[in-house]
Amino acid sequence: MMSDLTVIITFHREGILAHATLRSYLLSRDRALEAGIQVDVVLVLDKADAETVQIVRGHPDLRGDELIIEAAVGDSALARNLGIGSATGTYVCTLDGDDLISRDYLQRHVEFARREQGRVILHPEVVASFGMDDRFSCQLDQRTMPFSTDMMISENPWVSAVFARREVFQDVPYEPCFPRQTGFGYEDWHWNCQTIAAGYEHVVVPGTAYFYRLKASGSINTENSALQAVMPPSDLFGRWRRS
Amino acid sequence: MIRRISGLVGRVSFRQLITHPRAELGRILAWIARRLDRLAKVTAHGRPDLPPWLRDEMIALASIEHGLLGSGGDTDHYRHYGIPMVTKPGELYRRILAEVGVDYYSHVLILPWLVHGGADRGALYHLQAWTETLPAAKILVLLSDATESPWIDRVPAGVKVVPFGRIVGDMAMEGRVKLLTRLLVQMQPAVIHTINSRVAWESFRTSGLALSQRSRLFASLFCDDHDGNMVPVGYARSYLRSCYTHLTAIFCDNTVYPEKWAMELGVPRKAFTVLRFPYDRPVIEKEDAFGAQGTPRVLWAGRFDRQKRPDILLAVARAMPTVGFDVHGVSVLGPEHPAMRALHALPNVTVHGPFARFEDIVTPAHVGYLFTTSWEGLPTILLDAAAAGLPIVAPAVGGIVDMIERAWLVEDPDDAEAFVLRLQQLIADPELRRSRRHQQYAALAAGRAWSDFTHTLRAVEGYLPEATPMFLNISQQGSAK
Repeated sequence: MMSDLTVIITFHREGILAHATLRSYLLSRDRALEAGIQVDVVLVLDKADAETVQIVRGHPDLRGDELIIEAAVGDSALARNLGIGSATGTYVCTLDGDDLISRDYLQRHVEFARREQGRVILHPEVVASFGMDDRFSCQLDQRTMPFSTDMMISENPWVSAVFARREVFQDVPYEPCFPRQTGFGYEDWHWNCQTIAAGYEHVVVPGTAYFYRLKASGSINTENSALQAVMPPSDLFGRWRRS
Repeated sequence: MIRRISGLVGRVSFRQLITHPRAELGRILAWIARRLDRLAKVTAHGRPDLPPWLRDEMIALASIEHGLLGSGGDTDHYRHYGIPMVTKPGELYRRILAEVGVDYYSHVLILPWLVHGGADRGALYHLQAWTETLPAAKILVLLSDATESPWIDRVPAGVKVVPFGRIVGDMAMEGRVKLLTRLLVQMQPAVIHTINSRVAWESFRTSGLALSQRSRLFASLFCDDHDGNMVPVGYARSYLRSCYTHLTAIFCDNTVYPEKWAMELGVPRKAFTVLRFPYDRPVIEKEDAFGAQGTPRVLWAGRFDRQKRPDILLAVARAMPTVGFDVHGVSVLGPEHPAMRALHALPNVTVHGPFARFEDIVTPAHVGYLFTTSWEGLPTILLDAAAAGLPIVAPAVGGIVDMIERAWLVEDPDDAEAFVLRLQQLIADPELRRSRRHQQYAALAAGRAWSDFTHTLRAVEGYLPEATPMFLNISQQGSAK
């Protein structure tokens, strides 16, 4: 049955941190359900360690209708694509396995999206990073803030948590990177570039926050940074005519 | 502001300022820098206060994740961080793209510049080899530095040259590297080759794995440089260990340095391809008696820098007052070499300016070419001297031993007396001059034909496109009989 929203949560080796994460995400899911929004949840365990599998599978807030996929693709992009492939919602929201969201995050995103007609990607209004450092930033809204595609070559202005109609992810799937093997990385930055190149607009949902856990090591971003990974080729940065 | 200034004054230790002024000033400057950095962030990002709804949300979620709140159970420790609105690199990248155009390039050569020099001559040979095997329109040359490139008109017709360094201007190295890397990642040429471009080497170092996914990476290295303590430095020392796994081949114009780098750096010897530069100018072998005409003269030509040892030239010229020395060359940037003033003052030395072609500065009075140097690959000027039929007196350093037998070379580049001895032998013995001349002609003919150069390149996997097979038309073959 088609739902309003499919939430894709990807786990790797988050261990016990996945517990708090799922508590937060499923609290937001329950609030959306209470507001009459049909939400289904896909949990992708990609090469997850035993502790993470145990925490996720045994989480007390699971309702039993969540889809749990255990995979061994070993790549963030492929793991997300895998989850998205199982999505049935009108909308898809991606979340990472060690963060938190504001309680009305999912409800507000859906309500905002229902009012939207254009080709949009939604992001939380605020990202509050905690852990290794504590800071918050307002995410960039292409409509209401100064924006230039020129900034995309230097900086990824959005966190990896995104929300869009499901067909957007089919139109622009995440690019597998395998950073250790290829030197490519930052699949979320790349996806943002690709969606901009494809004509999508990135806007923020007021009153929503994403709580991003900053870790000294073990996160995809710190791994990318340590490897000095490079974003794969993007349509935003030039195409050449091969004759 | 007054509070901040008084805060700064309160932090200054006047005793430290007197006893250790540098350390204390450094500490004060670091403090000011931190304050300015914070001020800049707040100014640039605006809105430094946590929105009340966000604070409420953190408190509400703290029972799930206590790490959201500070040790006092509050949110005061959160700093505002603005998304940097950095557009300059993107603007420069667009300008580079506009220069590069929309047609795909299969071969990209990255040079710092194109000037009068051996490495530049080598770069032109590579370009020529490419244009013989693929359309010139498929070749792109990126000049990574903003320096003048007087040899740009020697680039084969149809090859696109983009002044990358000029476009990026005074951008810091990190930014240049990122833009170059982005361009190469996007373009995905089959071949990326660098000769002496630091920006390209940095790109290979930081992103070689990614670049090598869709392109084959090549580099040319010739020799080490040496710092003031004669410690070997240069691209090989700085980059080979971190880059060699990403490089399909490393070209070197001599046999000496691949062995040296394999021994000293641990880079596998098989990573190197010895690629002798061809001698592409006409060689008209002189068969005359090579008799001395008037006062014997010696030719010296090169850069007036510490590598090329004007001090040894000076010592040799002083020791041979009856021999004339024609000294051609250019000064390098920076202070003049201390030997130059004394050289100008010597009555038997004539210091000339720069030269365009070696053969233009050789006269019948010259009995030999004195080449002083402390370190080398295989300088192409020796090929010119050999082609001009001028016996070479040089030290046994670097790749020079590939061209001239060690027994004739001066073993120690500091040994001025040994250079004098060799020149005196040449002056005294026409037969020796003829013999040296002929041995040099033979060296020039061995493995330095254009076909030798391209043959070596063809053997390197992926460097040149596969030759288009020539299929004979059987019916035509038959009718021709």
